[in-house]
Amino acid sequence: MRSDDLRGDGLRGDELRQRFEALETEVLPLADSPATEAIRRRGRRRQRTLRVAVLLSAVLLGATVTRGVELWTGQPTQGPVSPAPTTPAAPPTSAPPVTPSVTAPTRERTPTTAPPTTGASASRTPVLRPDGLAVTAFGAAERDALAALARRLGTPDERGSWTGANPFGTCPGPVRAVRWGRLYVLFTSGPTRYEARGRWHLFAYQVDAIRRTAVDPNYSGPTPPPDPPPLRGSSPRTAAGIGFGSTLAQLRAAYGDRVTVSSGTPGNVHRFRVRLGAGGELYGSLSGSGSAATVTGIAAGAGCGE
Amino acid sequence: MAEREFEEFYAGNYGRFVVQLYAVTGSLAEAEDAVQEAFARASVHWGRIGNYDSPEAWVRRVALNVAFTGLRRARRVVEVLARAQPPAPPLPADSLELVEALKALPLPFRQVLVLHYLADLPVERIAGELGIAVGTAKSRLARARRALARQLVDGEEEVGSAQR
Repeated sequence: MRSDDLRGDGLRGDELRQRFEALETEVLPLADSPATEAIRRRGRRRQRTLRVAVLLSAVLLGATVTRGVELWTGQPTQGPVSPAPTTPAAPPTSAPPVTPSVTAPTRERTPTTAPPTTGASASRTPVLRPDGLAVTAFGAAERDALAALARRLGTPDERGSWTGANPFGTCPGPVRAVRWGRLYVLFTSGPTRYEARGRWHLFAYQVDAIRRTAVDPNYSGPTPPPDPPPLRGSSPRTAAGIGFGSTLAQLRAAYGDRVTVSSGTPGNVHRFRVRLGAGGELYGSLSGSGSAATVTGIAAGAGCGE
Repeated sequence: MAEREFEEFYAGNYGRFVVQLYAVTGSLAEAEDAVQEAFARASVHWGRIGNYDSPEAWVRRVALNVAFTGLRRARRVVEVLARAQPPAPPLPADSLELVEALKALPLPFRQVLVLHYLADLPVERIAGELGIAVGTAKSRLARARRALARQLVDGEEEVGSAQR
């Protein structure tokens, strides 16, 4: 008897065993035993249910991940992308002021080869125009411009403020930068061709992969800080579909002979400029000078010199 | 070949497992359902499970898990709310009393008693099946027997430290 293994408790081990044995004897005939085939069917049915559940879970997971990626690209975080561009060259600040207009003609052509897109969020990003960002024009008051952009892009990823030198170069005055993904919009209270001194207004934007404001929102040192990790995220495009990552071939296909490319100093950076008549111009940087070179930065407005 | 083996395994163990699960759960219907579910799962993977050292231990463990998953507990609550308790199986008073006494014990006590008295396992295998040390299994069995005896004699209940 197994109860012999457990001596010393003074229990009626044999009595307990007899009662359990009696229970077994009495319950066994009551156990309703289905046919083996019924058990097998139940097993197969469960297996099928499990497979469907796994499949549905995978579909749901996929949908969730896709949605997450969409949200992520819409409100990006850090990640590896193309090499960082340099700050675009500033047009002369002494240029005569022009009246901001969101309806200025640009005569852009659609490129023959579609440039890469940035997912569903791309349709929400404002179009890059030589005179602003479609939903707001250069010269717009800071508050109005931010409200218009926030309606389209949501909460900014970060903000920065500088009173002296700043990571964007030598700007017309104090600078505030607000970033959504790769898009920086720049405000100043200094004099620009869009607005007289004193009122904070939108004076430029640029799209690139350098995270500038996150290093130190209050940075105002003599030189830009070292390049932090590059950005990943939504990249607004021009009406012709040109944006961060577009090739020089696509740029030329979209704008033809209005595109000029120059290789210059410092760092042998390749720059492009797209003159769009009275509407203004777009400019930026390229990874090279060949047709496969890609746009590493694109900007417009009264940019900051280096 | 594997099908034949499974049939033999099923025929030879189904009733015993139902008795064991009945002693642990206190409900014959639940015991049958849990055991059938465990055998159904075993039938799908019998090629693998049939090669285990103790397929019985696998099926018993699955049946216990099935019987005590939260889902089934929730279903039980719903059933209790929806209707009265199912009638007790037609058993002699002594057996019904034993099942009631077992129901009053903590689950670890019930498990160890069933494995000892109904599955007829030595303490070493009880320990292995429950994933506890042999010494723990011995002491738990001793305390479980004491608690059951008290329950049967005077309806007393030993509480606490059942997990030791």
